Amino acid sequence: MTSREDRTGKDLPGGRAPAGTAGARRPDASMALLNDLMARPTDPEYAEAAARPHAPQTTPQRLTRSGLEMVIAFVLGLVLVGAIVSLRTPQSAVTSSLLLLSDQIRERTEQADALAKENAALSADVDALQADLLAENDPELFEDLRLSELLSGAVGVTGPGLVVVLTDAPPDTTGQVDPEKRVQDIDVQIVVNGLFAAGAEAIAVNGQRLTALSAIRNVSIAILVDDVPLSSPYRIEAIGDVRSMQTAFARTSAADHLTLLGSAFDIAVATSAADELSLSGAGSTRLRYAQVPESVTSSGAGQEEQDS
Amino acid sequence: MIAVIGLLLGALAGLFLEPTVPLFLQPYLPIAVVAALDALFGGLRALLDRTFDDRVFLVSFLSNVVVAALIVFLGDQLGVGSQLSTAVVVVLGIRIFSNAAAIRRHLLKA
Repeated sequence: MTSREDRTGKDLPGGRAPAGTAGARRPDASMALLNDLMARPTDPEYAEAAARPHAPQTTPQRLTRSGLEMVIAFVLGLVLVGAIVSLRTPQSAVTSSLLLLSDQIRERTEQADALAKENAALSADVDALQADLLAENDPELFEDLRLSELLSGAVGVTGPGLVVVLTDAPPDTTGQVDPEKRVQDIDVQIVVNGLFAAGAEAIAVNGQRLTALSAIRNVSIAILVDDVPLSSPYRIEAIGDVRSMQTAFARTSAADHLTLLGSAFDIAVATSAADELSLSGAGSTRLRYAQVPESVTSSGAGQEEQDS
Repeated sequence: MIAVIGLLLGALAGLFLEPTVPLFLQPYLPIAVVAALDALFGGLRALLDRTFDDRVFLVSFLSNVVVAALIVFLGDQLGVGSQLSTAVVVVLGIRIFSNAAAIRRHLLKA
């Protein structure tokens, strides 16, 4: 009675062996799922089908059944291989979609360029027609318009001025430019503000004329001026009195900032004077929402352009 | 045996014809293929156990694939698609492993 076997025999009714019996609750019952997975992975249907007595079949019955099985198996194999083949070629799909995207980008860029060119041509036409008509009928109004366009930056201008060129730091040993050492939108903004403060009358960044509605901002590594992406080197041209602008600009905080850029971030800064700068116009801007308040006298409110 | 021959013929035909799978089924292909592998290994083991049956093989193959794809589809609708696919892959992976172990025991007696 002291042996272990006896005690187990007593606990289980009928004295059956503790393991491998159907009626007894197994100690690892909670692990049934894992046991099933590990111990008996074959579908039990195979055993059942083998154990089932085969009903005698007539030859046509057996033929139809075999044919049906054949067809189903054929379709399954076809679909399986189709799935595998299409799974094995995701790389090409990715590259082809990339190609498609880059094609689309190129196409749209060309379209945008063509439209911009058309826009410029049309506005030149409009200008010419307007000039003809207005100059004939109302020379005074025409003068007003000329002045407004000149002040608002709608038309191209020429004159002497300063040129500030900012260039990203050269790529390091890995061939990458440290993002810290790229020219940022804030750098361009500071230079532009400094130039305006120094008395610049018209400024363009890489040919993009700045107006009262211009914005300079960063998107990723590109700097957008009026939503046109620009890249290094950034050439900031300012028309004004060269001598006084140079001295005034040197006194602004922008000059300090440029020194800092050069010393701390390896950004090349080149400032030079030019006898003849030619800046393109920004095209006519139209204010859709801003209106002149009724009470304001006309002296300071003649600047905005109506339908031009 | 008919089913195995049919499957092989279908696979050969698939290699040559390269049928295209509709785009909306693409997300379910990996799981369906794993489920099909599970059914294949199960069939192979039954074959070695001499209990192979065409009908059982085809039904298990078809239901495995459909149920696996259905589970992933359901998971996608509920927002737990990737977790459910992981669960399905784990379960089927264990089954494939133990079936492969049983086949190995049959063939190599080791």
